[in-house]
Amino acid sequence: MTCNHFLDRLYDDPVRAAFRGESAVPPDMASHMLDCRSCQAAYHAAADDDRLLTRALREVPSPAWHGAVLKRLPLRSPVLRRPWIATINESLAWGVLAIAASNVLLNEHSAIGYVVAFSTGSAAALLRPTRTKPVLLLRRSLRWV
Amino acid sequence: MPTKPDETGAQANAEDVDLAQRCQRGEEDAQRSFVHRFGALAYSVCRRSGLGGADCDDVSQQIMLDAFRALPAYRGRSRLSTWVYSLALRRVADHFRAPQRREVPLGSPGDDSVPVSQVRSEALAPDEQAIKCDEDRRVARAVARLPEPERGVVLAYYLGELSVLEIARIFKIPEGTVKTRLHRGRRLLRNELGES
Repeated sequence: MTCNHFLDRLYDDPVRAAFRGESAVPPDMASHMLDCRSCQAAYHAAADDDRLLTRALREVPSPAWHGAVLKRLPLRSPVLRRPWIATINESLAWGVLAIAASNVLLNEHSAIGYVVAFSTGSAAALLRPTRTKPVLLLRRSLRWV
Repeated sequence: MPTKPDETGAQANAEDVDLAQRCQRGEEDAQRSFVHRFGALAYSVCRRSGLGGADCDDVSQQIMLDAFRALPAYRGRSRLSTWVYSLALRRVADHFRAPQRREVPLGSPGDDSVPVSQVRSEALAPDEQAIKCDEDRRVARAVARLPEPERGVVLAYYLGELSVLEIARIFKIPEGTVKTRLHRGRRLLRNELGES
């Protein structure tokens, strides 16, 4: 490793983590420092600057500021509109599931029965009020079907 | 064995995505954590950009609200802190661009009237705390006096804690240029702080 290469890497993430004691100094840099006094000094100067500058530049707002932000936050972030293709996929999946259920549970094999079951399943998918956890789990598993 | 940087980044992003989703679901703890983690960042960006007093409070609070409202668009491609930092830079630029606010606001970072960090390590004795406050104030002033290409990069790296790659993307410059500016900025700061 050359000195230029060493100095170039002083700003990389693993080195910054090493400055903060979150990880070890990369081995190639550590061995270079053993042989090169000036790079060793540059490393320690960069570590000092990291400590000083991150502390000096960061300001913490008052608790009143935090309170004001929390008070102004809407209860929930606005939910992005789902793409229509996802809605169609979901209602189809629920319709098919309802046909299967009517087949197994009610022993229903008529065309009208299929239509009714499919419509009920699709409508349930479209009209359900909230996405609850079990529904999410079911959706996840349906993705693989 | 130390974790590879990209693995750490991916893990951090996964945690950020989780926080964003919990905020969207209306979980109070997550919202509190979001404001706690990124409030200081938004506030500091405003302060270091020269906003003081009520302007700083207003703009930084607006940044947090905008960030919160935009959370559904967060996909975890970058860290949440990078995302909030970029948003804060845009909002501060918008603030200065607004015609009624072209003048530099009262209370520049170099002003003694401007308080520095309000929360300090409680373990420090009062005199040590005063020395640290004074040192921080001197450093913040020195950073405020840096010439622009260096100043923006130094702030993004040390205040925003962005990686060189992230800074390169935001400022649309090569990574080598980011490192050169960081190096030059640090040298200028050392000269300035050494002289005073």
